[in-house]
Amino acid sequence: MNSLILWVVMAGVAAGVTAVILIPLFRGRTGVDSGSAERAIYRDQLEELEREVERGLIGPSEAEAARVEIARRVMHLETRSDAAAAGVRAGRLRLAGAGILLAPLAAFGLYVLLGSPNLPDNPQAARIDTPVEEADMATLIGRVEQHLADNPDDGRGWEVVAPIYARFGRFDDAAEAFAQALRVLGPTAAREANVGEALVWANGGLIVEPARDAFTRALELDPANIRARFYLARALEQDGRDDEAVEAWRALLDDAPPEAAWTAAARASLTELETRLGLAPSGPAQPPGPTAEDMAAAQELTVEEREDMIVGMVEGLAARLEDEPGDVDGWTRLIRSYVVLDQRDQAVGALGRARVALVDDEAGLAAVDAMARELGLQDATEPAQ
Amino acid sequence: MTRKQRRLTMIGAAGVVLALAAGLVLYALSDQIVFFNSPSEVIAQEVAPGSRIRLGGLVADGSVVKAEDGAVTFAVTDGAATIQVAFRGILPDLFREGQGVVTEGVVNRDKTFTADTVLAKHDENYVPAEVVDALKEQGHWEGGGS
Amino acid sequence: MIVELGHFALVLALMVALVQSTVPIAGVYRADGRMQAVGVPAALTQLLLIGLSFAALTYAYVVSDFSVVNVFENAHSDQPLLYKYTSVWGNHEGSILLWVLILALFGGLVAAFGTNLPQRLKALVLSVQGWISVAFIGFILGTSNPFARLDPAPFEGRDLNPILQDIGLAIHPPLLYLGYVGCSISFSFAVAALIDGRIDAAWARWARPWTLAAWVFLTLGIAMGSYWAYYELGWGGFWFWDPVENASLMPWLATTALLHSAVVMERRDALKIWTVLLAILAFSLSLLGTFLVRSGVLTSVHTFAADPTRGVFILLILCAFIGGSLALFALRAGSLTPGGIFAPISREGALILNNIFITAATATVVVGTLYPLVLESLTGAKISVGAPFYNLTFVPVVAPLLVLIPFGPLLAWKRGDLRAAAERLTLAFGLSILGTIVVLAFVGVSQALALLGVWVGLWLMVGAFAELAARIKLAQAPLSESWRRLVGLPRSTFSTALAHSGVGIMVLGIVSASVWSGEDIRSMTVGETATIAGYEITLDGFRSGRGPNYEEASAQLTVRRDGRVIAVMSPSKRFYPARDTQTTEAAIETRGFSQIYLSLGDIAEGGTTVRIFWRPWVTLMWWGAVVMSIGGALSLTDRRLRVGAPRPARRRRLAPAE
Repeated sequence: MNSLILWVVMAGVAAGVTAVILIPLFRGRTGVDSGSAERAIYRDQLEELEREVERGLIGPSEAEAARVEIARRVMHLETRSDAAAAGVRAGRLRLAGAGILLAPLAAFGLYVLLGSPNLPDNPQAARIDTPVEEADMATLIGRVEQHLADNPDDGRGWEVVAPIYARFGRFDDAAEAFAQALRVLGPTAAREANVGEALVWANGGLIVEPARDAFTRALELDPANIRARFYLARALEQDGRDDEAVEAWRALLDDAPPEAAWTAAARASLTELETRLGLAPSGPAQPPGPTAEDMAAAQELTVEEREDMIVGMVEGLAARLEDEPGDVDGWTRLIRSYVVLDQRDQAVGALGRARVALVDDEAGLAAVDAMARELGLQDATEPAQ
Repeated sequence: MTRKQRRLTMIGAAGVVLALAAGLVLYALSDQIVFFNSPSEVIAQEVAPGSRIRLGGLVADGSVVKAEDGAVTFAVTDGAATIQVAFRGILPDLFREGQGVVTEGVVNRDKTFTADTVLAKHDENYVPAEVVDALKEQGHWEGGGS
Repeated sequence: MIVELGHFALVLALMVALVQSTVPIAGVYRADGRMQAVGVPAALTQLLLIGLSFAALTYAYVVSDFSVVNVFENAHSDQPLLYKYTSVWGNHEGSILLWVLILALFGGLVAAFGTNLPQRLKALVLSVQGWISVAFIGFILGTSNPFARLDPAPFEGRDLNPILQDIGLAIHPPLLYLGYVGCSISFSFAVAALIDGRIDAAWARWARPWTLAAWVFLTLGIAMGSYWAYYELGWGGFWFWDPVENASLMPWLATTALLHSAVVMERRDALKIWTVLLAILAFSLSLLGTFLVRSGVLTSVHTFAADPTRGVFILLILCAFIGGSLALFALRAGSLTPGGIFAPISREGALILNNIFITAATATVVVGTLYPLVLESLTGAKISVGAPFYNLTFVPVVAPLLVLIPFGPLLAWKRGDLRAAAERLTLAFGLSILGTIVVLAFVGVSQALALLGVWVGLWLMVGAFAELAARIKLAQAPLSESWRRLVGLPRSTFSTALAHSGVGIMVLGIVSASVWSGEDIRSMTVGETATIAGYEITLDGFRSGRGPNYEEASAQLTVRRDGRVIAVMSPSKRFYPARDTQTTEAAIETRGFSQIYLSLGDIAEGGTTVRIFWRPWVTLMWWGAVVMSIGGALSLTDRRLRVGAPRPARRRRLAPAE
């Protein structure tokens, strides 16, 4: 609709312009020819001279000399023939007219090549006012950013936007947002690990110094924090401290529930290290969760495809937890995923199911509740005492 | 004076002025220009001590030391060689460690550099072309374009 | 829709420009008046279309439409409205569009107001204008399209380079472009004359006002740019002999020469071939300036939008126009009729002398600007040519010209009398020497060369009015008679006097600000006082604040003289998060024509580095440029046209008539 109006307006402009340019071709000759234009100038000069004589600005003898000079130039002018003749041939005119008519057509051709006629204007003010359901992701993020720029102490807001940044590949922004959340809400092991992890992503998987510091702080707060231990083990590996890395991986895997998602990666690293060092391999078990291939595939995908894949993984996880309701790590992962995907209701639902499933597992229940508090799900679902 | 003499007078005057200008230009070009060098070239003895040059490269990480009285020292590197630079004054806004920089000043006998000018860059993405070339020569340039 | 309409208008403008560049000139060769007449509506519609296109881009900036790549890259929704407008030309694409808009504006003006132009000449001029339009619109659409779109659109833009978010930049490029592009009109007239194989005496009458207008804009544009660099870069310098500055200085010099030679041509029908050549050179140097700035071949403190890949395109335009017009000149110059004769000591002779000096000065700047490029491409050696080079070449060439300027207007056309002119200048000479002695009393004899500079400045200021005094017979006739004559004087006499005295004012400012400046860089803690040129400057404290799209940390400094507070200054550092860039905002306090200039270094615990400048009489430099422009503008309003009436010298008049 909008683009139809555009085409109509463009056609109107083109037609108007062409018509205006064509006008002279249908009119008689009206221009000033060279000879008369020059004579007009010399006449001007003579009049000017007379005025100056009257005002006494120029002496009579000087005026006379000037007059003679002008006269000399006028005479010179008369002897020259004026080349502008009136010979007009209809054929040439038609050619010129055809050329002019071609101009708007060529313009349309070139515009189709260069332009984006179907793209409407997109002023920012209009985008701010679009209802949430219709707004695109960039607009939503923009709104949150504006909110946070005005309220930099909204820790919850930072925590919400950080994983979204990460999902769009804006890892630097994600790290900054996690760091802001940490600043406002105070340090916990999970928040320190969040910051560290985002920094690792931002640096293409390299465990840089600030990330390492964050993980170390996380371990100080919670020596059992899996993510911190995982990345620190990887850091040892990157530093070439292979023996220590093997130790770390083994310790980590010993503590881990076998079906945790990250164990595949940990085990792969461990196996590779053990092979390199000539050690006896630890028990190989292919756990569920995304394989290294899946993760590699995820890197290749577009944002939408990656989102689909994440949604698929979450659904798989939810299905698996129906069969193995005792998996604490699985529950926390599921709830966190729902929060990241902005599906809060689902997250609350999963929290309820987890509480039912883990009713006999006191440590597990505590872990799930702690995470729920961390994600701000607590208030809605405080279990009846 | 005849027409010809008048014309000759004009041409003569023009000739004298242009010859004067040409002479000045030639003299100034032999004496008043400043060469651009990379740290490697300075180290490799290509620049005589005491001569005025422009030194360009990247500001070495962790090398900037600011003293109380406004004096600054930093190192300029092209990856292969590094030169210590002393400067007194206010650094341009975009002066940062790891960024390209062009300084103008005098090479000292001990291969350090005393700068009186540190040139600003107006865009955080923009590295002076000379610096890019120097870095390319040393194989340290990773960006695209020239 | 508006954005796309703007894009289409630009494409259509290219096609209209193609028509304009072919049909009228074909009409000239076929002697067909109707085809010649097509130039007028083509030029007018072209102006309309490019205006539409520019308005559409401006609209996109004002409403922060980040679906336009150009807007996304150079704007931010938090910018104050003024900078949303100036962002339009604060970037490469937009500034070239502005260039084309001004080109179309000039073309449209010729079409609309050139009703008394001979039709043939008008058709040729508009065709040549059409060629330039085609080249530059083609450049925009081919390599720098401001209407490229993004989908999906980002929510926030990357902001304009903070250093360009300034009122000075709002005015500087449009003024400079009005100057650059104004040169295209005299160029088109020159090429039209060459194609036609003849130059009427009337030619100069039409070409000169355009040149004059271009010159006025160039003068103001350069002065504005210099002042902008002075306060925005925070170094307190006003001219760096930077290639980009030279890029605007070269066309200015050429236009100055052209103005003077066009006077000879208009009044005396002489110097035609040279004037045509100058017109070509002036525009060529404008194109060269555009090339140097836009192509990225130069590294420069001013280049903010450089892309080497575009250089090739501009280089082609440059070669086509400069090479083509010079070749045409070589072919056709011989067919132009030579002009009248005159003695070396005459108004004409003086104007030619002016041309010789200015041409030589232009040549030194051209060499200094291009030599590093040539040397690098030949030997690979990288050099920079800076102030020392120009002090040794440009200054000595221009200095004698400055001393000679007051003589010129006092010489009669055809045959002048040097001794009579000198007699009339005796008073001016005496006054300027007196003024120099007064200055000497203040500063001492330490700076002989600077005193010479002061004398030249004063000499120009006073000497410029010697002609005026002579013509109204000041102190020779009764005052009422003088007044009557003054009122009756043509405006061009005033304009000459003003423009020449403006040069003097500028020289005075440059000399003073260069030689007697004070500079102090020191780290100050709160409560500390620095003294410069008798002013005590105390650091009171710091303050931080927030602007629309930046955070600011400023220092408060109180300036006292003899214990009396005369100003509170707050230089600052700004941080623009969208660009992750810091800028230094200098604080300037103007006392008369002198300025105290403060800029900050990094702010640390309770103290900061402060750069303090004392710039005596510095504003005279820019006021000089303003006075020159007023002179030029005044001359534009003088529609008087007269052949140079030979004015017999006074002594000859005393001799008995033969």
